[in-house]
Amino acid sequence: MASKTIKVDYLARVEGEGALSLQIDGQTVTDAQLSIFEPPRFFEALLRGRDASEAPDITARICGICPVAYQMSAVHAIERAAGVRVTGPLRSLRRILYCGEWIESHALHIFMLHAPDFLGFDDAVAMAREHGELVQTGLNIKKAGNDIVETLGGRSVHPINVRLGGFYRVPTRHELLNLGERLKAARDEAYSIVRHLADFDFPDVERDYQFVALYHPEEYPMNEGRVVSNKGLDIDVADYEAHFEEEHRANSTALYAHLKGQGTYFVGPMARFNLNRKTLGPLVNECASEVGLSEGCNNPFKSILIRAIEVLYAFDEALRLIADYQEPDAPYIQVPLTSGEGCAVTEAPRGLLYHHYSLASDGTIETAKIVPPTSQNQSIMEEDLKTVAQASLELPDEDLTALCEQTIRNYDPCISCAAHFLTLKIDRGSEAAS
Amino acid sequence: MSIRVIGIGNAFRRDDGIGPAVIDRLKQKDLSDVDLRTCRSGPATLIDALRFSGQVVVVDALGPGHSPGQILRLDPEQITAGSVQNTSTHGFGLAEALSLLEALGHTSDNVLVLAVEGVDFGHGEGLSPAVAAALPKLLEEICSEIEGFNQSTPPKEVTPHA
Repeated sequence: MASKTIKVDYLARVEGEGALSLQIDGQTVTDAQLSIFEPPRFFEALLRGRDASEAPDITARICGICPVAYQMSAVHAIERAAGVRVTGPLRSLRRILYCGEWIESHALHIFMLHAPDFLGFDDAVAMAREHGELVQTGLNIKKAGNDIVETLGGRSVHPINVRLGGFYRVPTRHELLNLGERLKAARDEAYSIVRHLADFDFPDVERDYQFVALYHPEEYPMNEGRVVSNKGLDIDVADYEAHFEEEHRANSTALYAHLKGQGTYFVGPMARFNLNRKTLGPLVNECASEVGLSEGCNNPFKSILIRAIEVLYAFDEALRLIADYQEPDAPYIQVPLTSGEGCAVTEAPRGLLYHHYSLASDGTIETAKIVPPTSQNQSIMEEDLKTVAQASLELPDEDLTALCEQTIRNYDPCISCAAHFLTLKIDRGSEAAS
Repeated sequence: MSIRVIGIGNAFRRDDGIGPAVIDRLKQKDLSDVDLRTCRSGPATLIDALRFSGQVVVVDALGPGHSPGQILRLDPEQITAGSVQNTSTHGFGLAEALSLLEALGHTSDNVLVLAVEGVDFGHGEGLSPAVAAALPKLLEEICSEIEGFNQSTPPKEVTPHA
């Protein structure tokens, strides 16, 4: 068999602009590349010199799907630099807000972007003609997530109510209880949808991944915890950069991240689920068992099921926190800004999101470093492509291409988030000697 | 309320902000019986806004052509989506939302689209002179739609207390 290249020049149903290419020589897949050509965004550079209090709103603009994640990593990192810890009702409100974003983001990916792969449609509109109820359910669930983010964040896209130390305005108990009532119908739909999705045909692929996620002994992780893996990593967030590094490759405006000395790793819902199943609670765990996930999951195609399980958890967790909510004395606590360093990891819908800031004595940002989940998963996506394609070489090119695209969509990559500033180095040889 | 006006667009991309600009102007008028909505982005909000049992007027920007500032009255069927497959949800706009609603079995007979041809979709706030000049006429058209609709559906009679 001759060599051939399979290329998708513009990946569909992912957030942002990317391409993939697969090199096949005879019976062997020799190379797989996910190219991210979304232009660089320069966020880390434009944060320099800005007041640290602006970081949550500036970084939220990195992503229209997961702005809360950027706000959460930013406030936690800067509060850590200031030695401030937000607790009690303000902490709970942040968690409810994050639940809203997980629901919004996961629902969008499950129903609009990923489900068409399993049901054999080009897009959600075509799928809606045959599976109207499924799409309608997805829209209802997404709307409930929007409702949470709007109630706590001020608006459903790019919320504006998060600040250092808490919120500009906190909801009354009455407002939250009303929100809780509005969520209940969508929560029940989320419960039934897990079983529905479990009937999809999943390609039989399992790999021995290194899963990395936050771990918290008492709660499914969102804003706090240690960074752990299933292969023995267990570190404080402050040690993140001692263990992880990023590198630039020519094919991508996103940096590739890897674990020093160990290589690729996997972040996102599947990593969270495998490392934190215990804290999902009995009902959600029962639901996971019913769909065959009681022992965890190593099949990336089943990520759609795990997103659905996390949606169900996010509803129940939001409802639990709403029921317990007592209005705080003030909408925020003071965060005195002076020179210092702080970093934080929170769990964005797509996985670990690292922020690190160093602050000058006047509270302005000297340096900022942001590592989004998609750049951490970029190498794993390429490895998956190789594995999946190698096992399916007998497929006609069109089917193999579709399968490769589905393999990428397993990760719900947010390419817009991952596009990164590249250091530009100009070599002018002897001409530039002066 | 049985009439809704939806302004679609991003106020930080010049003429794309015509929808939000119209809603801001309408908010300054005494239109207590009209439901005003702004949709910046995202499929769910727009689909939700379009699903309304009364009359819906949508204001959106149209890509550059030959007559910046011209206002077109369009029926939903005149707005066709390309394949949505080739977009992320960032590219999910009015055409895609109308297609999805149609696929879900919802009629859009009650939807009127007023599209304004833009010329500048670059970064930044503020409409181009041509589109800004079209604003008064656009508002006039919307207000006459509202008036026409209110006249065709007189307010319910209030039964006096016995």
